[in-house]
Amino acid sequence: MIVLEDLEIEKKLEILSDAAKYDVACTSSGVERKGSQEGMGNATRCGICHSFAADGRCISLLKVLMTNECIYDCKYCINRRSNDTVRTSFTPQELCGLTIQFYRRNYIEGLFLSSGIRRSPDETMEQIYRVLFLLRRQYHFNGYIHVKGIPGASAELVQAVGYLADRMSLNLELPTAQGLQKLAPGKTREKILTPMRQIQNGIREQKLLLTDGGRIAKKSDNGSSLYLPGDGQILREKSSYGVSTRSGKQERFVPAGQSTQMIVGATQENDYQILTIAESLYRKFELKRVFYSAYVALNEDKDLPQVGTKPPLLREHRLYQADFLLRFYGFAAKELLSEEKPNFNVYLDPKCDWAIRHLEYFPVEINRADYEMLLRVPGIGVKSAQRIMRARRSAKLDFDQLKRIGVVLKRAHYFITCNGKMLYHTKIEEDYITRRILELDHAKNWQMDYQMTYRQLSLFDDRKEGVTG
Amino acid sequence: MITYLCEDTPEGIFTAVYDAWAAKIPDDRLHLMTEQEMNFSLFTEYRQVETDQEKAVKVARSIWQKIANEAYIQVYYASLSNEEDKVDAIYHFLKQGFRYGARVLDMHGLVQVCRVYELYRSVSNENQKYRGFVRFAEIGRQGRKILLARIRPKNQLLPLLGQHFADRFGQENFVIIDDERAMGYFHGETAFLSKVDMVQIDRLWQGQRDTAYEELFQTFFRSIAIKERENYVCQRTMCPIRYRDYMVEFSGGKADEETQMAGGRLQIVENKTESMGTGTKQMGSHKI
Repeated sequence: MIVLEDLEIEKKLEILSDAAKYDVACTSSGVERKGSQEGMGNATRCGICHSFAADGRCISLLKVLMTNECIYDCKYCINRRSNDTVRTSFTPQELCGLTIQFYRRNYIEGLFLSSGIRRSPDETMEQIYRVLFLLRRQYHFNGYIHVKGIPGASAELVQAVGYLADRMSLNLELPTAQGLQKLAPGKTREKILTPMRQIQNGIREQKLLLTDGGRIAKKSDNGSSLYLPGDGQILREKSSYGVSTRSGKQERFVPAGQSTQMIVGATQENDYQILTIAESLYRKFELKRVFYSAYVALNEDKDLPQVGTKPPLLREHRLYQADFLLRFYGFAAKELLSEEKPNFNVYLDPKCDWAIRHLEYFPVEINRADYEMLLRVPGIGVKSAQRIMRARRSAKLDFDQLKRIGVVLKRAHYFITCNGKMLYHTKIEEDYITRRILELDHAKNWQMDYQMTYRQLSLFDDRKEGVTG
Repeated sequence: MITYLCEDTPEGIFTAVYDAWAAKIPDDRLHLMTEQEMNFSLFTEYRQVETDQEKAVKVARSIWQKIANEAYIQVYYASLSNEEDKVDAIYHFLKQGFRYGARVLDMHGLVQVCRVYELYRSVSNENQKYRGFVRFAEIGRQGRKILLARIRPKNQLLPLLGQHFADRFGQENFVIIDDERAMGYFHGETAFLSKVDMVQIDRLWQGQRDTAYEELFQTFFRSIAIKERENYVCQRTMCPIRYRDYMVEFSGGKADEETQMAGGRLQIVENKTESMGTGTKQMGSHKI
């Protein structure tokens, strides 16, 4: 392992962001916080995207590793011990400087800090804690911070970090324990799930403390389990890491909740297994998000897909679609997939697929159907369904009005009626509708696997010539 | 036909609503617009609206009291839109609003309600994009540095963005310039909106400037992308080219994405120095 400690900052940034890029989550959502008097920064509930990288993924946070040194040798990981790459680390000061300076130029919404395991999980977690403490207390940074929990780190450290971060996440890495054992010998399910449970309990406890005090415990607008800060005092023991409550100000424990990530396509698990696990993570661990990461084959190993294998992007996309159906549309994993049909339809999105297999529920009458049923109509999302519910209180809706309130009928019209009438003469018949919808989707699915770009040429486009000439 | 011409600000528009309402002109003979788009037509009586803070506040207050706060937000955002029919839309929406109260917000069957909602959404979407895409540059000599950002939005976003960044960077001195409207939002000990002289802004922009962090961010921007997942279509959908003029990671606007990805560092640096050198001419060409 070549370790270079005193590289210039630019080189470090290049290495340590390159090493962090396979982590998917870059969201800055889930917490609303006003700016403070002494410091800099605020946070908005819906998060803010600051840029989009060449792969089309949102850049919201400064996503870097503390260090890419690692004692583990997880086969799928680019930073595994046995890879012959340059290793380096940020000092806490360097990281704070970068975060603050990027933030005040509005490049980022905050920091996403992960790390390779240097020497021990505890030592690594403590390093992370140092950065956060410095950033929050000395630089008075009030923006968003997402931190990786290090599997195997002590409960006390996880706790201390939790009071400084907005979101924490522990990566499940692989959907099954067998997969983990095979590819990540240094990690176990237990080491990952224990801190996950601890964070969940921490969030719950805080919620109880906030409500028990009889203070304001206003439910947040998305109906989730988070409460807005009241002014109740949290009774908490002073931690040896010095994160005790300062007078009059209350720290909250992981206010934006926790998330996790699974790698898709490195091992043999099918979509049904993955989705079932995601479902139970939402239910049992109350996670905010589960992220899926199409495996990019970089490492040579007999247990892994060959180097250069295309990442399964469409599969990842389907999993995200299904994930949304679980979280916002009231679907259960077993409605979408089953042992007999364990993988997603390549051609149809999961919701359409479900609808076409359950034509007995359709067409749905827009003016009468309940909210849950509206949500099940392909093409009608949460916003549209809510708007329909509101709009039909005052008047019967017809197709024109549906369009006007922003419902896209392209797909939906096969499945709905307005005042008993369909938009066109449509046969409610599986083959017919499937064919029609496939025509709509064809180009998009194709694009997903064969990314094509073109740029519209403009007559006046002198961008290159003007410069070089 | 009677046409009310008002200043293109929320205050001006609210005053026009007040005046037109008070004059009790039947809808089919009434037209309200901002003064910029002047195409005088025959057989029309033009009435110039004198912006009056008091009248504007009265209108705002009645929206809160008689309709709803949500309606106020929608109308306020709509008043920042660049659509020509916005003043008419707001007037007719408010008329319905004063008739039905808060219920009006659900009445998507009414054209007036939909239109204001559309305007509100388009302003709010653009605002959301710019909240992320605004880039501040540190400009000026030691001891007199400010953060300066330039934007070119379709709608008037300065009041909204100003509010957002004032909360975020409370301690900083910063300025956001809207190139199209030649206006600036200034935040320091006090905060205000004002017309600016674009020649001066250009000079300031090309003056002394701290680029170290711009370069660092470009490095980050390049190395965070996963090569195997390259997807410029998606990148362009999420961050349309028109926003990129001042985004440093796209090096001064219409940088060639493909070379940026493949060519790596050298080309970027070249590209950048060139665009700095050509100055105003280069900036002007982006307007197309």
